[in-house]
Amino acid sequence: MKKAINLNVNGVSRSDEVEPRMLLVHYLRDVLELTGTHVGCETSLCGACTVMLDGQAVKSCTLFAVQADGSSVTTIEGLAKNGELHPVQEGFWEKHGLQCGYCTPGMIVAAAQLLERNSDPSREEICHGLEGNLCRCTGYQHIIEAVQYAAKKAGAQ
Amino acid sequence: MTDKYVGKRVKRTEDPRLIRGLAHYVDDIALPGTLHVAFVRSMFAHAKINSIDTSAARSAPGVVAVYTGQDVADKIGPVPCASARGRTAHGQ
Repeated sequence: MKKAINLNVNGVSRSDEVEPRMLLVHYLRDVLELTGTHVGCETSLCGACTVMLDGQAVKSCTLFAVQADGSSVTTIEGLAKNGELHPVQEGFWEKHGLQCGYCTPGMIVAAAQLLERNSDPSREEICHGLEGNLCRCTGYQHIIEAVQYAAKKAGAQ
Repeated sequence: MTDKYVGKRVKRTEDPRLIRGLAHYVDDIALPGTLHVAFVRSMFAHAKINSIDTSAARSAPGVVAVYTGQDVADKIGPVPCASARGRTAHGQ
């Protein structure tokens, strides 16, 4: 039996009726057509599906859409404000933090939260903060540099 | 030309859409009428198939077709993972 949910996604109020078994990531991708959030492993290992739920980075393949009822969700599509890239997005572009781009949305959302909690992280703290996100292209070095760039940039603003 | 590229770092032109979540991967494409497939695998490590009853699967709502190894055996030749008859191993 479908259940009504109300949530705010990237600043837009959404009301839908969904099956209780529908995962949050499938709600975002299939119902709202926000396909920037990716499904990688479906077992909360890879982090490609990471979104912000009430300010906390969560893996949306491990949550049901009904669990997000009443919450605010920010996806990769909602990070840039007024056409201006989030410092982490800028860092990924500037420092070549991506190749195929599949892990990138989750990586960027996780890194954005990392910087919210710690505006000047050490290299080790960045590594630890991104442990839940896997990338098979870059070897992580450029991702770490991208986050360092973003921290510096955000600090300067 | 040489001033612009030689010895200079070049930012990738494909990145803006990738970092905004606006890229289009195959899984992001929804064509009208797309069907989804589910595979039912053997529950036994090693067993003999006497019969496969697909009636419940066929009558489930939204099911368009159900195929067993037998259905496709004479169309596509031997497929190790789709036993038409005989023995099966886990994963088949």
